[in-house]
This record gives sequence, structure tokens and C-alpha cells, in this order.
Amino acid sequence: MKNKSDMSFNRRNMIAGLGSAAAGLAFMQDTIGEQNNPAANVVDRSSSLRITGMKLYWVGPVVYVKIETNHGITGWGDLKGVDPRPAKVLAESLFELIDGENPTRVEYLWQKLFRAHRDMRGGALMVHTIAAIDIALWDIAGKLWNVPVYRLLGGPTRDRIRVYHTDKAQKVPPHGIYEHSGTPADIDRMVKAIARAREKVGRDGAVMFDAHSAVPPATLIQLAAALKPYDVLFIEEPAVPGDIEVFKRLKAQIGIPLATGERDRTIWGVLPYLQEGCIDILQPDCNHTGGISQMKKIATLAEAYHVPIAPHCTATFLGIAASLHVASSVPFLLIHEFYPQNAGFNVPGLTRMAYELDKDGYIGLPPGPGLGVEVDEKLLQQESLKPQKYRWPGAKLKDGSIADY
Amino acid sequence: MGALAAGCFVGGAVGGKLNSALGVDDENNPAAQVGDRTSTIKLTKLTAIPVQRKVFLKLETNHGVTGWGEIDQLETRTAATLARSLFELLDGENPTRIEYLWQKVYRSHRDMRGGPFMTHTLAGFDMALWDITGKLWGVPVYRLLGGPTRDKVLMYPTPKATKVGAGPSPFAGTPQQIQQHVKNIENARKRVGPDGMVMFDAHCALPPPFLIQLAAAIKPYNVLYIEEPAVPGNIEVFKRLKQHIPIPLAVGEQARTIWDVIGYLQAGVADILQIDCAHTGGISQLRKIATLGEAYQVPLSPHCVTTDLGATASLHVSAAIPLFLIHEYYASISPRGLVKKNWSIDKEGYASLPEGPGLGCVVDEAVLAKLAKTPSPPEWPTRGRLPDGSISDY
Repeated sequence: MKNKSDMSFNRRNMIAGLGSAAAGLAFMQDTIGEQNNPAANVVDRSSSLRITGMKLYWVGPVVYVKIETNHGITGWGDLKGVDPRPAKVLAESLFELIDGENPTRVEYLWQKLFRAHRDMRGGALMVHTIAAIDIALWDIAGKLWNVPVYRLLGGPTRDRIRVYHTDKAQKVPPHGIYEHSGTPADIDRMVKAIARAREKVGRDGAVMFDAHSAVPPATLIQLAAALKPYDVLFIEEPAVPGDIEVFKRLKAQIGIPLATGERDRTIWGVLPYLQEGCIDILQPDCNHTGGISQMKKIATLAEAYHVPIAPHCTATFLGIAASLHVASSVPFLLIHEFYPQNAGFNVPGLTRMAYELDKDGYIGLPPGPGLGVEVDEKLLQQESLKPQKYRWPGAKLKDGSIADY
Repeated sequence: MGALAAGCFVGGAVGGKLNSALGVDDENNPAAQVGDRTSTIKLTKLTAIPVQRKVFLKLETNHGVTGWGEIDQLETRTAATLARSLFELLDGENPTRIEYLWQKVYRSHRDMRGGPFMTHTLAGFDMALWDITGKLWGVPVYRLLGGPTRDKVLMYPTPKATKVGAGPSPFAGTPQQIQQHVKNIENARKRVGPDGMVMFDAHCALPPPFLIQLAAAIKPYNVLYIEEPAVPGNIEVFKRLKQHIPIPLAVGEQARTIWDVIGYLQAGVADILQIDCAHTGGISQLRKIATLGEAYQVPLSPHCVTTDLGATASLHVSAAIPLFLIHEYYASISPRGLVKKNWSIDKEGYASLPEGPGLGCVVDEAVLAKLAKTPSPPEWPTRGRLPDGSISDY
């Protein structure tokens, strides 16, 4: 990593600045046995590490968040999935709550942000913004302690991570926005696409179907009956999140495993699915759930209910790495979504991460320290100075009424 | 619709020959012209102005009719930015297609659906769209919501209805801590008398064990309800409290849609719904929630901490729904001279129905411009702190 030398220099500075505080922690050093172990210096009262600044760069669909400290260590996160204009303003405002705080108090700062204002709690803008900050804080903590983030999450539970799309794992999109009940032609279009994917991956591969909340319940029930022969691994987003009754209804009528969760942002968002037994696979998105901290908690709930996670991921390398660090450390993982080459999500050159995809469709654990992602800040700055555009999406049915998608 | 007709509605002054049903001149009745294909009225401009802790929204049309809405309880710069961005979805649309536009905004971006920022901002737009539509048709908004179901609307706080509040508290209370709340409730009961109402606002600040302890101690005071017994979002906590507490529970000021409310109703944990018009996505969504409440025989007791503009929007809904308990209102929230409202509270604590057309409020733009020059800094209260320094809810 390019900035490795800079970083060790900064760490030396930091440790020098901590001399007297560290001396007061002799009892910890006894057990650690390392005079300058920075881990000995993170007790909040004595550590002098503080958040001092935040830089935000809006490029394309993403606001890149950089958190700076008084000891030169910086952390990066990506804020995506929301309109970047208000998100950037909100991030600037939220910085007040973390300015001057010890960045290694990740859980405390998550709580401080999430529970700061009772009426702004939860929801996409708040939680995606917290996610970017959380990811950057973990990046700082990993760099400070010179370990990959997954080492701070209980350590790796696996050697490699199964991903899609590969030759052995394909997800089929809904191929359209559907009316409230489908015609045979609608159903055929989806069935044919699924049959083609099954042919491609073979009998030892995985075919997933993403209903994308665009197939209304009645149509999905029609479709599910026709899908039985293709052994689909799961149907993703069978309904719009937020109304557990619809999921219960679909679960009662569909014999294929159901997956959802990319738009459920906290443990409280996923709990009803688990409690009601209507979801077989949870798909948390690290950038949507409030970051590494909350995604890890969701994985714990899922484990308690014996529901594996199959993380949703459409981020830059920062978000991809963050999600992979969690996936590296959880006990119960099915498969991970992975689109590093999708320039729409991950603008080439702005962030870099070394990875290797093997022929079985697995990638190695993400590198470190921290997230293990290199950001070209100069290029980012140049790009962010160009005028950025945002367009609201939206879908309609044939009669001109608004549809989900 | 001609410029002349539009002209009479702008000031809210509907003069001349009145149609008794609509309150407008038949010939120029714009209601005859609102079919989407034929109507020429279009939204043309949004002005979003942060003022203290609110954002005032002014929606303008090509025919001079304007509507006002209020965004509440958000970081104002973020909310104003989001509102300006969302206006792209409304620009050029027919403002009377309120439900369609609500759906268009709410369901536009799958990842930004719901939540405080999207829904409070949408509430501001929704109020403004109803305001425009009421003005256009020359009627108070409650006339467009099925008409008034009552002659006056009961409000609090008044000398006969008062609420006692709570702050952040540790996980289980000592007798001394419990006693403090009991004392406050006892004093309130003495003040309002046996024919008055005392409500207790737990404000999500009393953890479940504490609240269970307290509920047992306040039985003698006949509290009307315990408000916000737990942090919304985890229905299991509400179920647990409902099982242990025999005092009616009121929930909902942070519930933003029918989908947030259905969980409480289905689980039977809510006795009163305290929906906030500025939090739920406005008049449209508040009214839908009232329908759900009606289906479950759970009355609405609207939460309200907006200026007189947002309070009036909420009052229009309260005037038009069948099942209603009492409405919250604080005159002191409105900056002096900013909003001229068209209703008043009588000595028994009832508000008169707001007079239209539209919401029936006049916003003084000179005062607004003046206030906008001194924006309040963003407020991140983080009020909830326990004695050990950890974060608590409030």
C-alpha cells in the first residue's frame, strides 16, 4: 500500500505524543508486554487520539467521506444510495457530534449519531450517512492497530468468500416492472431468463431471482409456481420492505426460499422477518445498515435464527471492502454480491483494492490495514470539482400510476 | 383557469356571487377544470426557507395560486436541500394530483423511501399541495377531506388538560426517582381537578423496567395515557409493556406511515395514536392513519410541535375524522408575526374550525425573510445521557 510509510511515521508521532498517558497504564502494559503498543493507549481518558476534520467529495452517485485525526491517521467511507446533495449537507452537520471525539469509540459514536435527535432517528439519509462515518471509523481503528478490520470483528471465520456473479452463480433481474397480476407472457419472460441462467451455471451452480420489489405479490405467486423446476436459490426482495404482513402472506404461498434486507437499516428493521419466520436469507447492505457495526449485529441476529446472510453490495471499493470485512468474520454466510467493475457504482481509479477471484467463484479475504483500500484523493478532488448531476429515478405502470421497483 | 379567477383566490378573498356548495363563482369555478388532461395549472416554483428549527415551503403555480407547507424537526439545511432536490419531481405537475404526487415522491427512489428526512419533507409538500387545492376551489381543506365531523376541536395544554413529562432515566428506578414522577403527576391532577385530564409523557426516556415500576405507583391518579412508552421500531417492547401496564398507552409521534402504525394496531399495543401531521407525510398520510385507527377503534390524539402553519394543517384533519380524542398545540412555537391563523381557542379549550380557503393561514413573507437572515445553528441535542456518560434515549 502506497501510504504505508506515511502511516507508520504518523503512528510514531502519535505514540510519542502519548508518552505520559501511556505511563499511567502500566497495568495494561504488563499483560501486553509491549512498551509502545498503541492498543495500550486507547483508553478514552488517556488517549490523545481525536477526530479533527472531515472532508467530503461528491463524485457521481457517491459522497466520499474522509475523517481526519490529530495524529495523521485518516479513515475513508462511502455514502451512497441517497441523493448526494442533502446527504453531503447532513454529513457536514453531523460532524459536530464526532468532532474532537476518540475515533476508536466506534459503537459509542454510532449511538451518539443514531440517537442524537429523536425525530431524525433511522431512515435512509441518516443511516446511510452514519454508515459512511462508521466505515471510516473502523478504517481508522484498523490502521491505528495495523490490522485488517476483520481482525477487530472477532477475526476471520473463513479463508475465502463466495461471490456472485461468477460462472457458477448468477442472479436474474425481474426484466421489467409488473402489473398487479401477470399475463402468461410476463411469467414466461421471467421463467425463460431463469432457465437460461440455470443452463449457464449448470446443476452445481446457483441461480438467484431478484424480484426487486417490482413484481407485485399476485404476480410473484403466479411466477413462483412456474419456477419450481429450476431450483432457484432464493427470490430476492419479494415485496417492498416495511409491511411484514405481505411477507407473511408470500411466505405462506411460495415454496422457494425468500431473501430480503438491502433496505432494512437496523437490527430493528430485520427483527420482524426473523420473528415471523418469513425470510430465509438476509441481505444486509453495509452502506445502508449503518455500516460495519450494524451489519455485524444483523449477522448475529440472523445467526440466532439460523438465517444466513447474503450481503447486498453495490458500492465503491470502500463499501465493498467494508462488507467483505464483515463477511470474513461472521459465522453464517451464504454468498456475497460483488461488482467491482461496475463503473456506475465504483468509478475506476478513485479507489483501489487488491483482490483475487479464484476459479471456484471465491475471493480472498480483503487486505488491511483498516479497510485495505487506497483512495486517490487528488483525482477525487479533481473529479469533485467538475459539476455533478443527480436525477431522481421512478417507475410507472401502464396506466401512468406510480409503481415500486 | 383564467388569470382573473386565479387572482381572486390568491389573497383568499372570494368575493361576489358565491356558489353555496363550493364557495366560488360558478362560471369561474376552477373545480370544473381540474381534469389532469385539460387543466393548465402547473407547479412552477419552490422556495424553501429555513426559519429557526423549521423549513417553510412556498409552492407557486403558473396561475398565481400559492401554497405553504412546513417541514419540522429536521436539520434545516439538509431538509431544505432535499426539498429543492425533490422539487424536480413536482416541477410542472398539476398540484391538485396530491395523492399521485405523494406516491411519486415517496416511491421515487427505492433506497430513500420512508424515514424522517424523506417523510417530513414530503409532509411539507403535501400541506402546500392541499393549501393550493383548497385555495383553487375556494374551500377550507377539511371540506376536501370529507367535510367537518365536529364543530370544534379539543386542544391541550389547557387548565383542564395537562401533560407531565419525563427525562432520561436509568434502567431501573429507586423509590426516590419514582416518587419524583408520582409527585409531578399528583400535582397535575390537583391542578386540573377530577373533571380534567392528566397525561404522562414517558418520551422514550424511561426504560421498560422503570416504566413498569412507575405505572404501578401512578394508578390512583387516573392518567389518561402514557405517551411514548418505548422507542419506536421494536414492537416486542411495546407488547411486553402492554402486558404489564394497565394504563392506556399512546404511541405514534415518530410513526411516519400507515405501515409504521399497522404493527401497533395488529399487535393490540396502542390505545391512542399520537400521529404528527408534519412527521407522517402530511395531511394525506395523517388521514389514512386515522382510517386505520378507526378500523381498530383507536382514537387519534395528534402530536404537534409545529408553528401555526403546520398546526393548522393538522387541525384540518382533526376536523374531518370520526374518531378523535384531543390535539396538542403550543402557540409559543410560532415566531411572532410569521403566521396569521384563522382559528382561535375558546375558554373551554376547544379550537374553532380553521377558515379557508386552503389551510387558511397567511404567511408574512417580510417577517419570514427577516427571520431567514438569522438561521439557527443545527441542533443535535443528544440529550439522553445516563450518569455513567453512556447515550440514552429521550
